[in-house]
Amino acid sequence: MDAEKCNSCEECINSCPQNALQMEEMFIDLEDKPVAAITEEHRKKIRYTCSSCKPEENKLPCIEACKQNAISCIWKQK
Amino acid sequence: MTNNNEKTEYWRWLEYKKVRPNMDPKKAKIITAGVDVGSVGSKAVIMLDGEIYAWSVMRTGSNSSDSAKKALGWAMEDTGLTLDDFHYIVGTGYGRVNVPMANRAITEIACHAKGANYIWGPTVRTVLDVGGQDVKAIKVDQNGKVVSFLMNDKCAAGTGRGMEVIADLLKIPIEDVGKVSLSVTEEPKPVSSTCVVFAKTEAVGLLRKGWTKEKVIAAYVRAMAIRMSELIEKVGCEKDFVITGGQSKNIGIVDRVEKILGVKRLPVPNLEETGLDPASAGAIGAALFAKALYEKSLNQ
Repeated sequence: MDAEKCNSCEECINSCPQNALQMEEMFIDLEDKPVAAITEEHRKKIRYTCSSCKPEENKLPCIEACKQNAISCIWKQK
Repeated sequence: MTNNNEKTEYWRWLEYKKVRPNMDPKKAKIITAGVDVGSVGSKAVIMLDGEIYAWSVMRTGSNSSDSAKKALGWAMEDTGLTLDDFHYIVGTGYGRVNVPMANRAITEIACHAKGANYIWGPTVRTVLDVGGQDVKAIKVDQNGKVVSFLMNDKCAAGTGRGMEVIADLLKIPIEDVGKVSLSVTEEPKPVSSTCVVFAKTEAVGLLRKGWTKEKVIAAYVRAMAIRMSELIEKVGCEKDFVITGGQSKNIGIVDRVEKILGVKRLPVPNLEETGLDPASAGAIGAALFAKALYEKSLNQ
């Protein structure tokens, strides 16, 4: 999640079938800005949460929904 | 009651504090502080107009807010400052929400990036922060702003706390771990697990097999270094790479990470004179944010 690119539109949150995303206040450029973030519940198991959306094709609904290109998938599928 | 069988605590590291004598808080326009309450160490840095004046590093106790009070209180000793003198205080680290005197809390990732930028200058691009219970690889820009980061915080695997446990088990003072780990003539196979619990069991097994303490610690340090290098490679290691957190003082880790990645980290500045302690990078960043936030509040 690139918090600086996030424009708080919440599209990704609505697109996630696992409900793994939520809005969170983040400190950016000395200001608190609401940005999309992974929920605490899913944070440590995000790889498993997202596996049902086939990350190897890099077409997760959240990535598709984000017009700002603020979301990317960094792990490589084995 | 005295206990003659009292065990030496090999993991216990030196707590320290310092005040720079050539600076006068009475002449300062803005006095700020950064308090970094980590899972293992608590650090406080006091700044006068954005320059480090006093600092302390101590062990975090069982209570975050007490640890924050103690760390800042210790740094304030011999400065003549009281809490009322501070214009702004920022809390950071694992226990940041429990820093009672802080005006606000900021994540340690932002603070470490800012602190590393201050310590080593604007060319720093990759920061590896080895904390007590997590390891973070952070990419920063020329302003010390976080570009991206990766964190391993699943357990204490390959962290400062894990190193303490192994140091205690092998009866090697924590300060000597790096040196001892480099004393082996041939690099042993790394332990297969950096998980503190399993690594401890594995280390005991290796000792029983007849491995020397030096060889066992080298195997553990090597496993940690490999793990950290993998994390850095995932975010992408760029030039001007630095290590922050307590493990920045562990030459066994530093040396091996440098070899694995094929980069040299920037040298650590003279801590005694400048207060630029890589272990306090988070607190330094927090004190800088405190100054920026105070200045911003004046302009509003």
